[in-house]
Amino acid sequence: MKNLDLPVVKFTPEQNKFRMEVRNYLKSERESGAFETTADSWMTSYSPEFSKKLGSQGLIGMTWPKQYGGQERSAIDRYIVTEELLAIGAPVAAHWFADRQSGPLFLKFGTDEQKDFFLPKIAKGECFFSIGLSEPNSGSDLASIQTRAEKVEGGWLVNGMKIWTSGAHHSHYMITLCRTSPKDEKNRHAGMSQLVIDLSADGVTVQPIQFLTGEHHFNEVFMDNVFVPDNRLIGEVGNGWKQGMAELAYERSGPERILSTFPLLQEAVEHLKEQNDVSALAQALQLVARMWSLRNMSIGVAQMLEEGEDVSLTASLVKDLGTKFEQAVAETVRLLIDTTPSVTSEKLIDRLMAESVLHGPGFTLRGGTTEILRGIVAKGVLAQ
Amino acid sequence: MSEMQEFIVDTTNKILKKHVAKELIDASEQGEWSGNLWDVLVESGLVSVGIDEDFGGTGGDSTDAFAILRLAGKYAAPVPIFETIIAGWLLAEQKVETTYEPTSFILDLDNDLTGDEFTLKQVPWGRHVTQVVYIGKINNQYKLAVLPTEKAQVENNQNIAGEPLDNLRFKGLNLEELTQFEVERDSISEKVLNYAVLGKLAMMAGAMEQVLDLSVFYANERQQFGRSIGRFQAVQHHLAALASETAVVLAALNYAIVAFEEGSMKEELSLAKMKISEAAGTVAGISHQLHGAIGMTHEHQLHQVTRRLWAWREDFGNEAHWAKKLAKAYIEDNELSLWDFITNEKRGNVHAGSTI
Repeated sequence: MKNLDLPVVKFTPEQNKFRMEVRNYLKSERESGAFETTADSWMTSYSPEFSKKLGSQGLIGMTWPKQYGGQERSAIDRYIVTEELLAIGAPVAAHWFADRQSGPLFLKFGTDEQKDFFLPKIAKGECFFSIGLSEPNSGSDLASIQTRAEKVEGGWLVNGMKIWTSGAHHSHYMITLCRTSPKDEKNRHAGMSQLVIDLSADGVTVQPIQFLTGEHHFNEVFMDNVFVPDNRLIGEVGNGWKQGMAELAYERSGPERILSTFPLLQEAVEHLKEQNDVSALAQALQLVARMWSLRNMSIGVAQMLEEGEDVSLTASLVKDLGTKFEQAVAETVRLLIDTTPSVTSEKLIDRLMAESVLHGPGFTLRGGTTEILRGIVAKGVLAQ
Repeated sequence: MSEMQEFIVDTTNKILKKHVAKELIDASEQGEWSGNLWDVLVESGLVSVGIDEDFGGTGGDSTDAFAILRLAGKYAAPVPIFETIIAGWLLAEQKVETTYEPTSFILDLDNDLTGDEFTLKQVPWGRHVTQVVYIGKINNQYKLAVLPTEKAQVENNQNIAGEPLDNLRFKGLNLEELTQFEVERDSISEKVLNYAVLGKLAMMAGAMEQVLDLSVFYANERQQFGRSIGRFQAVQHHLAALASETAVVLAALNYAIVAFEEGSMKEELSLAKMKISEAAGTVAGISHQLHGAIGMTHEHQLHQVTRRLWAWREDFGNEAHWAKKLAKAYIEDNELSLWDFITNEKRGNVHAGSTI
């Protein structure tokens, strides 16, 4: 059996100091009314103004080379910033995917022209990306996608449809997984490529899909003879699956798979502390013990990613456990504190409870369902 | 992991693999002393790791010892290696040289030994050890004392894993003549708990690794409906849950060990204990479901680790006990918000990315 130990990362005094600077900045922003704390803010709390502010503070694209507007900081520094943003529930949905996935994808596979064109704008918090993967008939079975890009002179002609595309109504671009050659049943992962689709291009239609609350986060994106110039293909033709899977490790192991409901947990603990309720607080702290352990894991995976190690199995473990934990927060807290969950309530705990309960179903679906993740983990351990 | 530690782990693994078979654990449960195994462990210096050579120890640090205990838990080694190592540390701190004798320890702060007749209750491995390090009162003073067991009458008792947990009735022992040291109640209790809880957590983590290994083996081997049961998604999800819990337990353990090693450990111990004791039940339960009926027979070895998990999760207080303790401390120290509390890095000051 493979060793399941992950590295133990120790923050340096400089990093701890940096964390406090970020925290104090965010607190002062909240106090000045720039935002309100929400649960699940990375998916649903959208503010281009705030993203721009973060960009001007050098907090987007932090690990990227300076020539592309980055800060050349470590992955652990970036980890600290993402944690602080999530813990305070800041409105980061606008730039989240570009910072987390699209930028690193360009850095790894993009051309110099693509890096020059996209990265500085992303780092300024002015250029937002969506991820075009799922299709109506391709959910967990992603390799069955049908959106196709045909080679034409000077570029590609894209036809098809993407679904559950978060933020496509706000984003400027969508990194779109397409078939560039017909499906080969013997090698299902071959023949796919990643194209950058300009969401304002002719032939692109974005239609809202209302979330169960009536809110608008995700969309259907229709592509009808959309022309994509050659210089908007990322990496190699036919290598899209592999490139996309490399992104997933970043997507699955980050703090947003643990902290989506943290604002609720923190508020609950404050209440219980004030009430001197040792027994209820103890139950809340049992959640904290889970969270602390998960966080240790997630930081370990971040460290391994930085060192270029294969984390596909461990990243899946983190997401499976982390998102279950996010759901457990609401289910545990509701038994410890009487609330009237309401998104319009003036009481913070009522609102956070409402957001955590209502958004809960998505935690274990988005970015790879629990079932798919467990399949990956099980195959990994059985093969060893 | 340092080269030294890799060597220790490798050596321990080889010894335990060679000497600990299911039959040995069965025999131990029937009351036999695993003398051969014990002698090999003593000769290899594995029961005295973390003790300076000046006090007769093998050298190395506590992290090495926790790595050994993790393997002892994995193989369910039926010897008091945990008790002897920790008793040895406590004695070395009092400048008492290590004897290499099987030794137990018991933290019983409410007990007060007086006169020449008294009982120590639920002493781990009591029947097989030659001495017990007792931490509690003697004539109303807190002491750490060494009690030789030769004059003790043993009343056999065991935990649910079949490990000895005996009552020792002492008669005719002169309390004045014991090797003993005055100790301060709170600090000695904290020290013993730090050692003992971390050591037991390492053993539990090892036991969970073994449960996962056994489960993977069984899922590959067992055929139903014309294929191995590991091909069924329902079974795969059990395996994934076992791997996940094991990985998260190791993350809790390793962070607590690093905090301990750096002398910065505070709530890490409670949090690790809470997580790992909680996971023990989950892991044992899933593995039994996965193994079906064969897993609940005495013939199969699964119960030798699952019963240990069920026993050990209660040792030194279960997760609820530690959660309450932490809750009280947190209410008293009311300054920190939860996020401040979680990110309150006391470990630190070492370069990012160091690994153990």
